[in-house]
Amino acid sequence: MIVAAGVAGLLGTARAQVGSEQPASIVVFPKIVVDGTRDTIVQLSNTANATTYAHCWYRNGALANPALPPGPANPPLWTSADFTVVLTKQQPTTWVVSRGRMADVPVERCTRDPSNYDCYGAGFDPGRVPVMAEGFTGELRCIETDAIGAPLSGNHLTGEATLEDRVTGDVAKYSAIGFAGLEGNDGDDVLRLGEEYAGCPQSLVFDHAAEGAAAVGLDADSSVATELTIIPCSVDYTVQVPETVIVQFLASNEFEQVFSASVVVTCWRSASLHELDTVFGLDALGTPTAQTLLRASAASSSGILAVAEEQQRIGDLAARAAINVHSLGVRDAGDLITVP
Amino acid sequence: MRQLTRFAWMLTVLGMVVAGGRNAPAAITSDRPAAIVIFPYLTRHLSQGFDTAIRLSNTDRTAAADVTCFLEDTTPGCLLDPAQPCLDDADCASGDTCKAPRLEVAQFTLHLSPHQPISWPLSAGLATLPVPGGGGPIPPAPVDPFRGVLRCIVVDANGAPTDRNVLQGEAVLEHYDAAAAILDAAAYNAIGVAARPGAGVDDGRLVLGGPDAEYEACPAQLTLNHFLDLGIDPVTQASASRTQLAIVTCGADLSSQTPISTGNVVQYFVFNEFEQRFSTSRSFEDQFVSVLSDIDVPIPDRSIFSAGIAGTLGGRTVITTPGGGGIMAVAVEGHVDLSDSARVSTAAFNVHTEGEQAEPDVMTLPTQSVPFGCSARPLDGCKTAGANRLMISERRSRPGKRLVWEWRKGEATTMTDLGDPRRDTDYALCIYAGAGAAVQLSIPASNAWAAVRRGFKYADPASTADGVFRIALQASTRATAHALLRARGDGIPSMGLDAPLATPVVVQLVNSTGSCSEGVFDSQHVLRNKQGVFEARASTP
Repeated sequence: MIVAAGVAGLLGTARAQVGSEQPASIVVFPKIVVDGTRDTIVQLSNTANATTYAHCWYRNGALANPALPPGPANPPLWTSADFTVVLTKQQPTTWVVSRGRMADVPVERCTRDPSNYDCYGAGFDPGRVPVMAEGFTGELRCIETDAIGAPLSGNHLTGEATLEDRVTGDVAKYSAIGFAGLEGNDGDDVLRLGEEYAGCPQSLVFDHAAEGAAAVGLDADSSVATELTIIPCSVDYTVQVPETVIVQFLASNEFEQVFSASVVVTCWRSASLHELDTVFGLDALGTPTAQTLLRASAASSSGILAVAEEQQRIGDLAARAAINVHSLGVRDAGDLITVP
Repeated sequence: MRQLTRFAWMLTVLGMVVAGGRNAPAAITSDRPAAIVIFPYLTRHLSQGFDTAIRLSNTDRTAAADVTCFLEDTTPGCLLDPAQPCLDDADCASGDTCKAPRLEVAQFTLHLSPHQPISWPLSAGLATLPVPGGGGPIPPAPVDPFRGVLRCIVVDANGAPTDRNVLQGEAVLEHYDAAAAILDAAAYNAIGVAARPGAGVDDGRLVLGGPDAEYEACPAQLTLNHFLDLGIDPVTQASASRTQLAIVTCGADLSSQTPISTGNVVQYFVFNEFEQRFSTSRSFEDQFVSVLSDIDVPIPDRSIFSAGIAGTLGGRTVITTPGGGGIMAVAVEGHVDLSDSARVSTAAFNVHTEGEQAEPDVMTLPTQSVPFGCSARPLDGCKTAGANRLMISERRSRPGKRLVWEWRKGEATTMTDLGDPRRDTDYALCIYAGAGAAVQLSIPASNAWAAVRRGFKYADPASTADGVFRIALQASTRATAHALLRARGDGIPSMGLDAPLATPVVVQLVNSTGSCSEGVFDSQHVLRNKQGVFEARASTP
């Protein structure tokens, strides 16, 4: 009977998968951008009828020299900034990454007077959210904790990120990826994905336009490019050593033909599919739509997470739309998030 | 470019995907492939430059997926002219309003090969699928303007729903107005309803949740994190928020095209950043699309969904159906330019879900969800026979085109299996050569059939049904069932005997009761296989 219970427990653990729709104990925003043209709005909510605490980490994946391609001689900055958020029952909170959120500064609430519809910062103070300076391109993770900061399997966090063009106002939005906390979470500083939390996906799969193809439903002179942002599931916040993963791709066109590619991702990588490999181009794929499966290579010590952003262009006009990629399966335990 | 033939880690991936398939998702979600995918909001308004691009793909890397889709047209009509579709009052004549409910459903089938993606614009549909035998055509949205829902269900070769969680989809809502220099795009993932592995889902009544669940249950509640309407965009300070919510019922009666009511009302609890809670409710049927601040009052700045009333920029709305009936939703967040309200940048996203509905939701499919005929690939589980014979001649010289198929010493076959072709049982002979698509000879129920002892015979000297002029069907409680079909003349569909047929050649006689008799001819059974003639015999000792 003990064995049966153990097996059942293992099965229960194995079934837990990441998702973007159900409240979780770890929420990951793989793509946060504050550059010359774009900014990001983060939304974080507490789904509980009690106060929820979370500790969050920004990690900057911008290259040491943004003008050069990534590589051993041009690693990501991988600097981090962390902060604590306290959300009262059912409380949503919002901040612009470049503006942060001040603590203990009362902000007048919006009123029905149209001149007072700008009430950024109004609401119960969730704590000080640091300002991310221009040039930040990286990720944000928030981990639910108890009042003294120990990780907790509460599953009360949801989130979204809105990437916005400062000039045109064009917006793209995705949901934070959530790792549900499981029973048996010991609350220590090593968060074991697949044991204490839902496991990292074995692979990711998403449908996309071939790079350079005309947008379906738009003029023939339109074109589509998809930017994929990939991060390792594992991260160690106690050291400044970024995780490196070899990511393998299988792209299938509409004729059931399969193409392959692989890239190295060190801590954070965001690039158009065409930049990642020419197999994603319309000339190579031969059809306007493709399905791509990606996963960390067997030699990699971490799984991966990703979001995709599709950019449509016609002449000088451009519009972006972000989307969460689908996940398949669960990696065996071994992915770790280590916190100080 | 490195096109793969045998990619080294393919096997690893295949194993992984199979393993992943066992890790069945436990909730309705857009995060994973599923057996049913639902696009809660599709729209087009061509005169204003709105359209939707739809992507659908089979994630199974080893097997094809047959899919039946239902495009629900929920476009309202004008109150005084219900035939005139509309999305708002401006689409109706002066003085008329856009209110009258409509619901029409168009059905189409697809055959997606392993890991095949397809895409199409809602406005045009897809007349020809990329791969021959891929099903379709996919109909365009039937009216303009249009608003609707798309539900696609994984089925087997007979059109019966199955428990394969292999379907995923995305919708891209597009707005392009060249004259106004507007281009906008918003994308969301189709919501997936996973089948419970092994659940008997092969009928036309799909049960979501509850004690006899075939598919995962609908969520107990939805939660939407959003910017409160009219609040000023904190990045540009040049636009105001306006979020549109599209809700559909989990249940659907696709057989009678009757709108499903949630049974009661949909209740909304809005939380601001001060821990304050506001609430409102509204009933709807089938699909509900509204800007948040239009849900409760006609004047947006008096709405509980507006920043002016709620007092903060951020909000969180919990959506429930206290009277039962599951719902699902997507949101489209709009940023309306303060200087030109026609310019709206949008982003779509899937809402969050919590819990499960205690009572089941049911999707009812039409009785004959797939038109009777040959499936795209040979059916599994057909009755076999001890002896088979097939002869096809496409020579034009006398005696002309001919086809003979005989099935002897067949497995036990009852009169129930044979149905009643005099009244309502249709027959089809399906011939598959190699991996090619089926060539079909259709023999609908008619008075050319007559009952004989333990069977039926068909006689049509005019050979009007695809050249068929004689059929004999004999039931038997032992392995002596018998079938014989003869056809002649130019009415026989071409097998493409300009060249030898690819083997194996599989012949299946199917009928609309679901019965199937099969003969398989491998290369060793072939007597003649050359231009114009194919002949083979197969027998087992």
